[in-house]
Amino acid sequence: MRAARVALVVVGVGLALYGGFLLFTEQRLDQVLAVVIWLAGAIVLHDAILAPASAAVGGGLRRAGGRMPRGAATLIGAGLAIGALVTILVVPLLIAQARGPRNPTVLAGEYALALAVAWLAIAVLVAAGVAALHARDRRRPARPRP
Amino acid sequence: MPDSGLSRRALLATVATASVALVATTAGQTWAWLEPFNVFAPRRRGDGPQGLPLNRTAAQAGVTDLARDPDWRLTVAHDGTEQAFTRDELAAMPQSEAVLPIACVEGWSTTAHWRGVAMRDLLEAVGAPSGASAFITSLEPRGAFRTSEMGPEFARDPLTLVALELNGEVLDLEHGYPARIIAPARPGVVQTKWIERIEVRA
Repeated sequence: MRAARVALVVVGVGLALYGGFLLFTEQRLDQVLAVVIWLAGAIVLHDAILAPASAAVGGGLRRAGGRMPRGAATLIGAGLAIGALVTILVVPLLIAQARGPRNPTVLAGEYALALAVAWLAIAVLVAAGVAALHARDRRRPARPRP
Repeated sequence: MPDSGLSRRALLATVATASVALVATTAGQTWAWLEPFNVFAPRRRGDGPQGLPLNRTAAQAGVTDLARDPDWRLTVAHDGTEQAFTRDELAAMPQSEAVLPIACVEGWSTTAHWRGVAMRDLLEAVGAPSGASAFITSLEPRGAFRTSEMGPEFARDPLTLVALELNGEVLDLEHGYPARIIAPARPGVVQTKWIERIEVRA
């Protein structure tokens, strides 16, 4: 196990170093700067929006968790996370569509409708899961909460 | 420990579910068997003239009139001499066929059936050596991809065509009429459309 981990780390660090080497030997300086700005944008997006939002949602779920069946908070959290990932993918499509696509074969989909349906499907599945957990707890109510 | 947030197992299951969901709802722009579930991809498989999506239209490239000009010729330059081919002359040469995808770096790819003159036959016709590269120029007046270069490994490949037909029809104006390049294993942006000149470079 330890040997496998060491091997994975060595391979990973090696690939990252090779990528860095290629970046600085194959790309122009302005291209390297563009990569730095792109990566910095990811950090800003994560620290300014994603982390506070997920902390707030997680806190709310933990407070509500006591009144819900065991596992329900996890299920709801997972549903919100999946919905958020889908939304992150779809928002740029909606922005590009609003700007006007380059030609009729690009961005022909009904992305807003599909996103709404996706959130609805997630809500239905999570609700069904929570209901199943609730039913399980009613059949076996004796298990104490830790 | 319900108070410590998402467990590692729950996190992995969440990420796996999201990955499966996102692949299933986007990969259909390229994979036929996922096509019915393609709701979030920028492209739709087979959506476009002659069943092939477009990246750049003739109007965007500014070639609509030039490409329809009856005086169009494909000039092949080699060793100080130039030879011009009309579309009919190209169509009268031995025709080759290839089933090749347009593989766009934007993420979609669609396979199509192409027919035209094999690049190696055309180069042979002007007496080019077998190790020659081809430098291709489009009718496009401007743009980063109005020219492309292919090394001998592509120019010699029997599947590399100066394509005149697409999926059994005359190549659509949007796909590069009167003639375009199609070669195996190359990104879509160098499959130059609306070509007007091929320079042989030794």
